[in-house]
Amino acid sequence: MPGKASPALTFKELGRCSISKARVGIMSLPHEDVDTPVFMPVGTKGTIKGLLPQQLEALNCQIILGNTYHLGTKPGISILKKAGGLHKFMSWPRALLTDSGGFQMVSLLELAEITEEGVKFKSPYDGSECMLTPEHSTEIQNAIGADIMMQLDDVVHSTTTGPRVEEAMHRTTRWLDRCMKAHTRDHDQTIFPIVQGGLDPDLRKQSAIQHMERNSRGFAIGGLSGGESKDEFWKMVHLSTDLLPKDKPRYCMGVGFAEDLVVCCALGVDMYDCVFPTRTARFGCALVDEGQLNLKNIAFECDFRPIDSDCTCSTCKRYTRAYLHSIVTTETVACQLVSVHNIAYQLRLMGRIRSSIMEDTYPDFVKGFMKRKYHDGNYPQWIVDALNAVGIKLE
Amino acid sequence: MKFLVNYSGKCGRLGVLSDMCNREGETFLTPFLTMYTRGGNVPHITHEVLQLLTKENLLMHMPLPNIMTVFPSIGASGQSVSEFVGLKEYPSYVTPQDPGIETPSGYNKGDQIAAWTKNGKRTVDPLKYMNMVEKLKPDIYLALCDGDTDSDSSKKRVLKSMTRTSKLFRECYNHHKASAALQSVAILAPIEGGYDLNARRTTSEEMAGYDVDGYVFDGFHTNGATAEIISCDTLEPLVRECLERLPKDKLRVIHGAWHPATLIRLVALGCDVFDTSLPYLSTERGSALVFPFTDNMSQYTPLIDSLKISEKEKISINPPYEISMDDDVHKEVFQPILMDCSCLACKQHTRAYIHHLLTSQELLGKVLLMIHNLHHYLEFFRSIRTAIKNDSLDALHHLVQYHRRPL
Repeated sequence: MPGKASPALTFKELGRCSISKARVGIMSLPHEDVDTPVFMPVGTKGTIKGLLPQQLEALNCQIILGNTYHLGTKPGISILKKAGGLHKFMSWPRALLTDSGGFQMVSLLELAEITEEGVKFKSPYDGSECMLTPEHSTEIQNAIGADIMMQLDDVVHSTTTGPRVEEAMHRTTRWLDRCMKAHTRDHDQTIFPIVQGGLDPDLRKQSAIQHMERNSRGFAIGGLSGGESKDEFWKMVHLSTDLLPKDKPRYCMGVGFAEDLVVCCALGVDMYDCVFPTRTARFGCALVDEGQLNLKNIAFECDFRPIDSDCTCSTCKRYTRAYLHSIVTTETVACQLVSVHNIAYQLRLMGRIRSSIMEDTYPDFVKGFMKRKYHDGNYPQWIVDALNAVGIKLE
Repeated sequence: MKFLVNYSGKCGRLGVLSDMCNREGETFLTPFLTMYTRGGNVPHITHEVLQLLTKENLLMHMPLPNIMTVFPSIGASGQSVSEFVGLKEYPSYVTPQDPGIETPSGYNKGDQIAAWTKNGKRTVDPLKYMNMVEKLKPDIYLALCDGDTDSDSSKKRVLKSMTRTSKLFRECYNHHKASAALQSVAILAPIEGGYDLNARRTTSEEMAGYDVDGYVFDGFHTNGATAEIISCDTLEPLVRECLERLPKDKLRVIHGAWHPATLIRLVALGCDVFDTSLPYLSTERGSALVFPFTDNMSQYTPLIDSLKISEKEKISINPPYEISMDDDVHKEVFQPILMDCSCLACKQHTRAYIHHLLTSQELLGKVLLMIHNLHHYLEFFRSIRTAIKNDSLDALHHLVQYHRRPL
């Protein structure tokens, strides 16, 4: 907002759990005030699975994510600039977050070569050689104009060990400085540094401390959700939230399974994103507290209940499992209907988390949730341990 | 069901369709469109989006081939087809064939009619068809028929289609009259006869003898895009022949993705009901309907002129009533599909965005196209009704027929 002195991001804690590190806040961004903890649905190419912006608003979705790598390739930076940014291009009035394009490196690693300058890779679209530098990533993200943007980080696969992890951690800090220097819209866009350091507590600590010296308005925890064990995952999250400043939002990248969200909220994470809820919708998988329903399954042929009778989304209010089963692989409408439900499920879960934190009953919520999810009481050990570390004891 | 013709102009007629079973107070002003569905829903459009698209009452057209595979579920639910598919507020209409997709020719045998489902060929005979109709509980349906004829059909094929349809229809009709469940359901009779004037006359005279709620002029094409290329000059005398021999107070239905100018001439002859297969086909081609139907629009539409038509567009065989939105020419056009269109896609989104979505294989591209195309077509029908009232259907035809994109 030009002419206004207020920073591009302010975070205010509204309530906290008296036992765990869980907290509720409000993150004010140029385009929307976002209630945290928040789940951000992923709209890779400037759209989410056939849904209109109105439908996302009706779901009370306050912020969505776009992928810099994909958007920078198509429609490309020039069209995005001419359109006046991604908000206008896709007609989305609320908040946006863009990644740096760095994560795509891990998935395209066989094609990529990482140097101090940046990442060189072959475009999977046309095979041409591209160089993604911190400056270029920042330039694209400035053109996209998301409320929150990510620094380009040197991502190593989370199971990598040895000196490469340390190199990546230090390089990430150097790249952060280059991103911040190249950033031209600090008045209405906030760059999040990304805490790296693999699964090494010392490196994580160093990374967090180096980033905190840069005095950013929010922080991301990166390099996780890439195949490491859950036992290692939660410890890195726990350690990072202990170090990061309490008055700033913390974003754990790539997390979106319901049980992970519930645990990470207890560990004090405020923001999440994941392609899973919308990607799985395309294959006819609907999310419920007990897990997921594969609507393709013949068992649903004559099941005339909604996906979830507790859900108030437009899909559950009108359509039965039997009907969805009948169109799930053949009609695009099925993908939209299940996507609406899955996004509604994620957002409702976050709403339940927030209200129980505000009422200071979060530990009870966690226990109830886990009981429904693992009805035989066979809790995964990592969940027991992670929750135990913040004072929540599962029976 | 009641149908009342309340105005017959120089060209075309206006009517009111009302009193469909269990839908008191709901009316449709004719000429109107049945809403084409696939698997029970408007293609690409959920109920939530449909409410944003139009508040009009719509007759949901459920072609048997794309609803048949879920028949066991519907049967077990005990619900009507409208209820089962989540559109209980809308009346439904069942036909044996699907106007949105070309029907493979040559598969009707004896009293078995081929229905091409997503799982391949299924066959239905009159008893099976009527049992399904009783379970689906539509508000209107067309009796089983063999409409597998087009302008290339031999005399023998036309004759076969007529005699088979005659037999199939009689069985359906007798079943209908004896069925308690179907007493308040409207039945339509098929009028076959291909492109043979005598055959059309014979069938019409035969069908005029039955107590039905209306007639469907069938057998002019084999559905899908095959309807788009039919010239109205060949069609007109045939339809006229049928109309002269059928009672004037009954509903006249003709299905297919007609060229909009052809459709207006069918309206002028006195046809009352059409369908939305053209907006669907256009959407599937990645195209937007842009033909003008008001003077105001015809001023705006040439905006296409200001764009450079790319080489691809020049050599393509796109019908003149639509523009191909995946053409690169739209890549940087930050304008709506049509300047003065009030649909949600045009009010909120640009050609550049829709082009981006279509060329990125994103679902929203077709959602937006379908919103625009259906809106455009529904508005087109509004202007058709107004033109009949004002006796200006000729002028409307002229606008639609002779408007050409400058190349």
